[in-house]
Amino acid sequence: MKNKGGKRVGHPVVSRRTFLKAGVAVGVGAAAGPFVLRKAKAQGIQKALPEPGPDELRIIESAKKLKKNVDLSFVAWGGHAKGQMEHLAEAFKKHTGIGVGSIVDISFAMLSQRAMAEALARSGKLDLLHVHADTVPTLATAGLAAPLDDYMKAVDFDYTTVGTFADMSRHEGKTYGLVTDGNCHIYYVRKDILENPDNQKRYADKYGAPLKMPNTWKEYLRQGAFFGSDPNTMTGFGNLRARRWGYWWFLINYYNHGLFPFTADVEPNFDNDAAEAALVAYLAEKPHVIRDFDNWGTAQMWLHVGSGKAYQSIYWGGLLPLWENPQKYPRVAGKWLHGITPGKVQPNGRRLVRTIQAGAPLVVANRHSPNLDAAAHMAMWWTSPRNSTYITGGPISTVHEPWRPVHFKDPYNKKVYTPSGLDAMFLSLQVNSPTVRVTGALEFNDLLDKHVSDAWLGVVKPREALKRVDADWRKVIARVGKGRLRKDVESYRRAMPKVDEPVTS
Amino acid sequence: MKRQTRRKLFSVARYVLLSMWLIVATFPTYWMVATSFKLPEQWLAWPPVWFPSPPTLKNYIAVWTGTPIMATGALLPEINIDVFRALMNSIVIAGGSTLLSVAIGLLLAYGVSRYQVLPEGRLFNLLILRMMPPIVIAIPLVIWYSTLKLLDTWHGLIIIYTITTLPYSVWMIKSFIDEVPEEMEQAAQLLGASQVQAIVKIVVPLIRSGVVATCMFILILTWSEYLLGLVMTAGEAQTLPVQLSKFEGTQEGRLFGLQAALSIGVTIPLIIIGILIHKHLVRGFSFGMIRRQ
Amino acid sequence: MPGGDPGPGASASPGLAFLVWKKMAQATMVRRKGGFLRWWALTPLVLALLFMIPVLLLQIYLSLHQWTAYLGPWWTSDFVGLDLFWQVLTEDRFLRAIARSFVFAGTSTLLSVLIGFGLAYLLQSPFPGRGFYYMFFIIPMLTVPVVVGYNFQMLLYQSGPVNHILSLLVPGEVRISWLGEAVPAFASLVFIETWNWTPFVMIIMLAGLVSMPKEPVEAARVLGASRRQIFFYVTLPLMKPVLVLVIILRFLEALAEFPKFWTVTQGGPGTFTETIPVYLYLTSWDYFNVSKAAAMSYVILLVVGTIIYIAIRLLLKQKRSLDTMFTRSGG
Repeated sequence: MKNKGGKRVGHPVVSRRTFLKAGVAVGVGAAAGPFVLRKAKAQGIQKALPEPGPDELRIIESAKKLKKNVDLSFVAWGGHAKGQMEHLAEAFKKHTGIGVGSIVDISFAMLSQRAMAEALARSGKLDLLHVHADTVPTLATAGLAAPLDDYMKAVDFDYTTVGTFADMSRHEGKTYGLVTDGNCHIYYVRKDILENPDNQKRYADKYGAPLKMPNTWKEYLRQGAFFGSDPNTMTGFGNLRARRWGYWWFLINYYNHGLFPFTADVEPNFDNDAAEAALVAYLAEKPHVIRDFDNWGTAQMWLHVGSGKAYQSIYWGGLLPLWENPQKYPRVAGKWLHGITPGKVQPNGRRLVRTIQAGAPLVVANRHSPNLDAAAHMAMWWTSPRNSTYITGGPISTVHEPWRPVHFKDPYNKKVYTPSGLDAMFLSLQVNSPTVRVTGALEFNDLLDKHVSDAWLGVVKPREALKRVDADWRKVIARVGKGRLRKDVESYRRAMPKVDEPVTS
Repeated sequence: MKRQTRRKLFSVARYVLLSMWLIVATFPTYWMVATSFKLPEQWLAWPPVWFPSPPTLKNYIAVWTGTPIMATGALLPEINIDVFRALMNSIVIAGGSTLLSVAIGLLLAYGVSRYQVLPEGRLFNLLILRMMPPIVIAIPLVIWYSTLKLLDTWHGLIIIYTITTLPYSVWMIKSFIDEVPEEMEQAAQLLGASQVQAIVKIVVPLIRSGVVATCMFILILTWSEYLLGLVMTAGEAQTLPVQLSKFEGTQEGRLFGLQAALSIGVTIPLIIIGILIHKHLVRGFSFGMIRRQ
Repeated sequence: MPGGDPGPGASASPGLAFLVWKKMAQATMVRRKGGFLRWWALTPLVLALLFMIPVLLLQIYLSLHQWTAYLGPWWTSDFVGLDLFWQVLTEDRFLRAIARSFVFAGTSTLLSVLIGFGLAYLLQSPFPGRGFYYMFFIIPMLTVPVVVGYNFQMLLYQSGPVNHILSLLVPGEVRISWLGEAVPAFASLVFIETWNWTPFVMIIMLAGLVSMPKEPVEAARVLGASRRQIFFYVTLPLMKPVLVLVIILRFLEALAEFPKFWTVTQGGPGTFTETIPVYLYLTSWDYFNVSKAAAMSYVILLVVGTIIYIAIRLLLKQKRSLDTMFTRSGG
């Protein structure tokens, strides 16, 4: 662009040729690089694929009768699906001709939405889906999940689980999915800090009570406050509080106050003193944690706790392989006490312990799929006693937590989760509770979370937040319909723990 | 104050102000690049690690080949976000919809410019419609698409991206065609050329650089599109920006180094393209407001 | 002479016959003037419209019926008339979301225009290093919004680089939780949006400044006006049409911004950064309350449509004044 004098003024110009060259170079590099590197990929398996036991053989026999040679599609988060589940699918292919062809890898948070999208679209192209346990009623109502009871009966499938995972898979008496990952929060406390004699003395001086691993919520909060007095150096707690998942921890408090979200009349049950006390207990952690918790997800939290900056944490047992691993987290490896979440003493004197299952994935078979039979068999294959043991613990996918009684006897799991950690998981599973688990779960849970998050922020008082939960929930209840919800609430209740406190066995 | 000193002062002030914004504008990008070369312990270190030491390629390897990297080894060894499929999808979908959008835009722009098939006001409306949040029609679109079995397919996404970028391509190309005087085509026709020949031999060469610029601009738009890609794909047709969101919250949380390594892969093509066309970008944007001398 | 048979009624009167003939002649003339191209040009547009019509119709249908996606197929939902619209218009959460959207769009637009114009002003005359600055300035605009979101998340943690830098500049340690507290989170998103799009404003303003007629400035300078006076009384008025253009473009795009919000705060903390796109997304893809989302989208359409209408009026008025300005000066 030239002005009248012919001089080059106006728009600055960047040499086109230089950038063209640079671009080509980068492009070629980017294109060639991955293909070269891909060949270098190799994964060693340190655990042997199990020999089919009697349960597995029955499944194989039944699958062979289908005479199907098909590759199923599986929607799951890659962290779950890759590794052991893939190996088992390959083995099944060899035995029966039924295998898994493609894993549709999506973010863990989007599993329920993806399943609902399939319920809407009814494409039938997805055979198996990983879904969160609390969306089972919704997906059953939407007609996506296929009941598996007939298939299970035909092979005499043993669906014993520690705790109520089997019930979490059921709705109105039918089983809609099979669990692969025994998601459950256990309780971690820093042994080195707790057993430090100076700390013991200081604590005893201040409170007149000995410093021991907390088994009541009051003690849990007190110790957290004591050691988290300067959150920038050490936070008293290591639990998430962000919008979207803070409510998991709130529900622990809510449940251990003996509450249930729906009354007998299918009305919301949040506007009462007990719920307010639960929310206040939830909010009590705020002065002793850093503000960033309001935005963090798990990866930030595990780094935070793993670098020794948290005194205690209520988190997945699946983090044991990380936090106990001296190569990965030398600052905290071997320094943990494991246990069950602190309970709450009820007015009648009994102690109630509750923990939360946050997003336990179930394998669900798509009702609209032409390969439904094959898919059901694959689901059973993955979750059979020996195969599910192979899936849990690792080595490639380590996010599957144990859920069968036999998993807890497996030596590999004992090593990876540490014996005391494994014990803690066994106990925690007995008091493992679902999040709100009715038709419309996503909406109920998100509305609860929204107001809890507002309360955490401080923009609304706890009681007012709970009132709003009630108000919002009533609208959804009206929309979904009490008739439908009555049945759902029944199956929700059945999925709650059967014991007040876990029993050692 | 003397004129000379005042000019110098202004010059210094200019450098200072520009440099301040330079830091603000480039620091985040620098941080992203630096993080992609950092080991996991350094991602969230305090005080922050300004320069990765030692720099590592592990994040890039992990993202592009799915091999495990150190700190996340036990928990998430194979995050393998299927980068290649996403890359393929992005290239096909963005590329396809760009070409289609520009081709149709060319046709329509010619019609509007020469024959006023649409009055200019209407065309402006069309453009402004583009500014509506796409989420506004996302749901019925999904239902319609599921009926047509277009969900999670290349052609499905190409169609919708084409439709949503059409207003931009028509506008930009029209402003380029407007600058070619009609008389030139008529002259060519008088000399015996058919209309098509006139267009091809006269108009097209003159607007060629403008069309290229439009192509690239639409490519930038479709390459970075997130919302429709998120709700209308599952795994088969997922594009790169959507794949990035797999590093989102809940269980796996954010793996910053890996995210950064992938982000760079997603952004570099655009940066290169953008720098190549910056001059043309303006002409297209101004919609006749800015007159050249 | 392009002919045409005068058609029926020609015998009625010669005047009428002439008119009809003239009309047809005109029609055929236009048709011959490359008529096939004219129809070709419109075909894709017509096809696109036809393709989208079912979508729009379904949207209208859904906004008048209560359909929750998991409760049954959409054709079984009950008719509720304008109930949903009423519900939406009186819902606190929705109205707040609109307010947030507007505040967000307004603030980020204002900031990017101020900064962008400033940068353009500084870059308009050549000086050593100009191209270098320009090149680096446009990079933020070319970064994909999702990437921008994730990147800034990293930067804005309490123990992140931003706080570290601020701690160096300000006495004492700065540990603001940019993303964990309500107002800082909102402010952070405004900043991120500004950072992302200031180059867009800069490019356009720069082109405008550079193609601005130099005569008025020269004249003013000759008349002894100060730099400041020149800027406010000559430059600014001449740049007004461009300014209006960028403001409107930026504002509308900012209203529709979704990826940054979803990746950085997901609408939190609480609902403090829940703007319209975020709420709409939650309603359709989390709550599956599709009908309500449809009704919401129509209300939004109305609101944004009104703005657009005003914008068009403004812009067209500007464009017309620009046209007259140029034809008068003969430039």
